Amino acid sequence: MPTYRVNPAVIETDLGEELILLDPATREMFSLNATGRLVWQALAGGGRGLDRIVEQIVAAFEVDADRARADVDALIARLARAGLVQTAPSADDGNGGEPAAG
Amino acid sequence: MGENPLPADRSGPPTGAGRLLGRPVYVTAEPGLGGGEVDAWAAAGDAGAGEPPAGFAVRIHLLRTPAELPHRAETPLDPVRTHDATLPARGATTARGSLWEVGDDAAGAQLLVASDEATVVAWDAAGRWTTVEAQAALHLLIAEALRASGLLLLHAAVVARDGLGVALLGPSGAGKSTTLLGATREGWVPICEDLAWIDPVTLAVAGGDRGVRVWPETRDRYAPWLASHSWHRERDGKVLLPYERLAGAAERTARLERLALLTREPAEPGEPAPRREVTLALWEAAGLPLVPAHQQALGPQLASLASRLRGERLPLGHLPPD
Repeated sequence: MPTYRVNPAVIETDLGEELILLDPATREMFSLNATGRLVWQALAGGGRGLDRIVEQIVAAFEVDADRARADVDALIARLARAGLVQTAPSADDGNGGEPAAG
Repeated sequence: MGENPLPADRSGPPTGAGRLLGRPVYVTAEPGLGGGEVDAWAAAGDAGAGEPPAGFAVRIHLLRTPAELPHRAETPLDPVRTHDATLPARGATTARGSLWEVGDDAAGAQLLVASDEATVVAWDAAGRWTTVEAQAALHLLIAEALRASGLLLLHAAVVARDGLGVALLGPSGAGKSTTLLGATREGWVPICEDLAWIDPVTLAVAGGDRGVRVWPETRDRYAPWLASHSWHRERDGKVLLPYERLAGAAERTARLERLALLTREPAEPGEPAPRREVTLALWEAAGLPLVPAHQQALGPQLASLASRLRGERLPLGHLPPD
């Protein structure tokens, strides 16, 4: 599975209840709700907190872990398609990783 | 001080100086160079109170040719599109800071952003900055230099009463100019029609344009007392109504208090607008800076404005409620 990181060019406008992302290259805006914000912040931190976010979603919304993980993966895939996140080189991949999924 | 962005014999004392929201702006022009908009910077006076970074200055140098500049930016960037021109752009990194350049050797500008100052060097072979390209290059990089000082630029109209400003936000054609003229008729002070400089810390706002650009019919309808004058006609057929003719010597600065989103939909004047809607309108008004560091600064600046200022709807044909 590829590792993701946020596109460093993306501009964040934090409204508290909502995080608005702007890709300067496309000038498209993307809005994240509270859950999406957690995912974004985990990616910004290197993606290491994603498992914990899945746990939080399971606890908060009473969904099973597989469903929560699928939702997080789907969001990341949408972010990747929009160019807001990129695949990051991993420790065992010296060539910069695979193209973003989805 | 590190390296100078100008040839040694061109870095003399400024020929003009002013302050914009606390930021010192120095203009140095070769003899015989200048023109209305350029001269306005040199005679800007002291516009509004702000909290600039300590010691930060903006310097503008006007030349005929870039031939003797010690550094040129060579790395091609995406062309920059303004509302009336598309300019080639280039970038570079120097020992002193990042270097940005737009335009060509006939008319263009260069910006050096360092930690303690931002320097714009603009050139125009004709020496008057009257062509679209020369003006666009100069304005674009002066805007970036002022952004480097922490200021926020909004393409918005601003009117003020008792020193408290209302920014009128909306896309081109939304009615900013007509609302401004109508408000002026009711005693509001026009701060700007399309170019507002804002200190995001103090919320002080200062106008960055010279007058209201409107179609003659709009002037005749909303400022009929001015119709008998002979006004400067712009390239697109609009006329420029200088602020001093609209509001006398009133100071064109205020403290920003409200953001009014102009709408053609039915709404109560002054009804609250959701923060998301306000933020998107602010993004529309701010545009995207050329310098990536300024792009990154914009998100927090706009979020701060959206949270500190009251956002409200203003249907076309109404004035901001008191």
